[in-house]
Amino acid sequence: MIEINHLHKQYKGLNAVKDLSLQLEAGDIFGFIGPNGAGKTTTIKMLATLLKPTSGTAFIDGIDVIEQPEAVRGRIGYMPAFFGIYDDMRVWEYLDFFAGAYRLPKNNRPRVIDDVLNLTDLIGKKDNYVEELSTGMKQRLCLAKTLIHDPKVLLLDEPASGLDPRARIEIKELFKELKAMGKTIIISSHILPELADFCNKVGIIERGEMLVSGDVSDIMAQVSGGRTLEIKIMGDEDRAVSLLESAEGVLAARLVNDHFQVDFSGDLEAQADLNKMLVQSGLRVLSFSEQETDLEDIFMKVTKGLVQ
Amino acid sequence: MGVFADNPVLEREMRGRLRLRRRGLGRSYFWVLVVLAAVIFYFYTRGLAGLFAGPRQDAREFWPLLIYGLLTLIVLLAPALTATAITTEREQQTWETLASTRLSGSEIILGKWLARQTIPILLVLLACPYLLGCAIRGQMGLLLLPATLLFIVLTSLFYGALGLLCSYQAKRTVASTATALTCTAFFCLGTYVIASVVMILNGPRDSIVLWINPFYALSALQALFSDHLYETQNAAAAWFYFLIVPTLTAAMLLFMVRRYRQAVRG
Repeated sequence: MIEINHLHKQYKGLNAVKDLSLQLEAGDIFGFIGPNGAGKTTTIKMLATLLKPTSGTAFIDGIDVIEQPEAVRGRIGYMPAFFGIYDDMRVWEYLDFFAGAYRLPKNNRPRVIDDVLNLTDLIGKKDNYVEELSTGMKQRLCLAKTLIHDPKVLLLDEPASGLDPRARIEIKELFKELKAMGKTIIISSHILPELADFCNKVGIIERGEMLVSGDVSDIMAQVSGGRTLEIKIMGDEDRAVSLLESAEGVLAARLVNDHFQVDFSGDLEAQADLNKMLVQSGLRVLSFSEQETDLEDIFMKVTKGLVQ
Repeated sequence: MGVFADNPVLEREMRGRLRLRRRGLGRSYFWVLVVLAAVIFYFYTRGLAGLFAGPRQDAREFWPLLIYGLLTLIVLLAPALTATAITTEREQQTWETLASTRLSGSEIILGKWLARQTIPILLVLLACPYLLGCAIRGQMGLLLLPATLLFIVLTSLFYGALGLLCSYQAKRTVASTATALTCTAFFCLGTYVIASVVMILNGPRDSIVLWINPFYALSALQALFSDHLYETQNAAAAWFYFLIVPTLTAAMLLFMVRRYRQAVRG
């Protein structure tokens, strides 16, 4: 659905995006992670046909973003990081304006407007002026306008920034609904828990370079170099260390506070065997679990905190 | 869909200009406007009746007052109204969203340009009966009225495009409006200053730079129809204006239509 090949954007001698390549299938939810100034917005703007790449190619639904921008615009819904809304219009008028801008037939517009208002839970505000809406509602209205022409691809740049926790949760629920609808979504953020829940793919970008990208689970395995086990053992700690270090699949074992942290390269069966071996060796195992690696850990490992 | 038919930008801009916002406030505004319109209409029709009933000389004397007054309003209003068109979108962060829709550059740029010509064109339409009265009553010739009207409309479109170009280039509305009005001041007053300097240096000759001055060109057009002494020079100045103004207007609009997406800054 989205194919980016060696995309490059240069601004006045500054490489905003360097040799970025990416492939997404229909239905993928891609979390675009990176610090401020990393090149996320530039990449999204190039896909939204608002910026012309210096070199490289990008295709959306098989259509060249550079050669056929008009055709691409009908297939994408773009929500910028900083957006304004025409305050002097009623909610339905605002959506009707964008329905017209996306060339929806006039007789279909009332039904489509009701549909997107229902989806974004704004149907009760249909006749209100936009300026009467809260920030969270405005964010949902902007998303409603992004969905008005039923685009296959959504490009959402920092969609939850500036929202309070409740509005953040509401908009997250909405993204889950969009995921269920089979939309392909690129969603950028530097707030990682925001993405962890619903992205199946992520890409980490820093100083215009894609440091790592792919399936969330693959990246976690790739970056952490395996799993980290947390094992709590009562009693003989020295013996436990020597046993763990000699066990198959164990890369390193260390005592952290009251438990062992074990870097482990084996699969689930090997984990079970390790547990069995410890118990059979006479050690009293209180707990045995796999430490959850989250996006935040990966992000911290991959990036160097460099900003252009 | 085109620039005129079913163009959401044109519709929104027009509606925004005519909307009476907020129920309570809207109603009170509405009644104030109705009373004001009734008073204006009364004096407007009375004046018009007086013009037709009055002496021919009055009509002839009223004509220049009317056309130069109208031209002054147009050259001030047209750029000021369009100078806010794109910068306001940028300031309220809606330009990017607009540029990412399926609307073409011509629909966005021409929609904004045309919608913001509403007030200047409305002024011209309001002046039309008076201009017609002056032309008929003052027996000023058949061609002078349409030529003058065409001149004023072209001027309005040109200064509207100039204001829009300033709005396209500037980041802030204040800067855009100031630039548009400075450019207007250059065309209307600066050209006289340059012409005076040229005259001091080169002797008493009309400088060609005045041909782009709307007031000078309008006076040349008037003289062309009434005074045959300077026919060649007046004709050249008037024709030059009729040629250069639409050309520059088209060039400015074409430039913006082709590059409107580059006005996205972030």
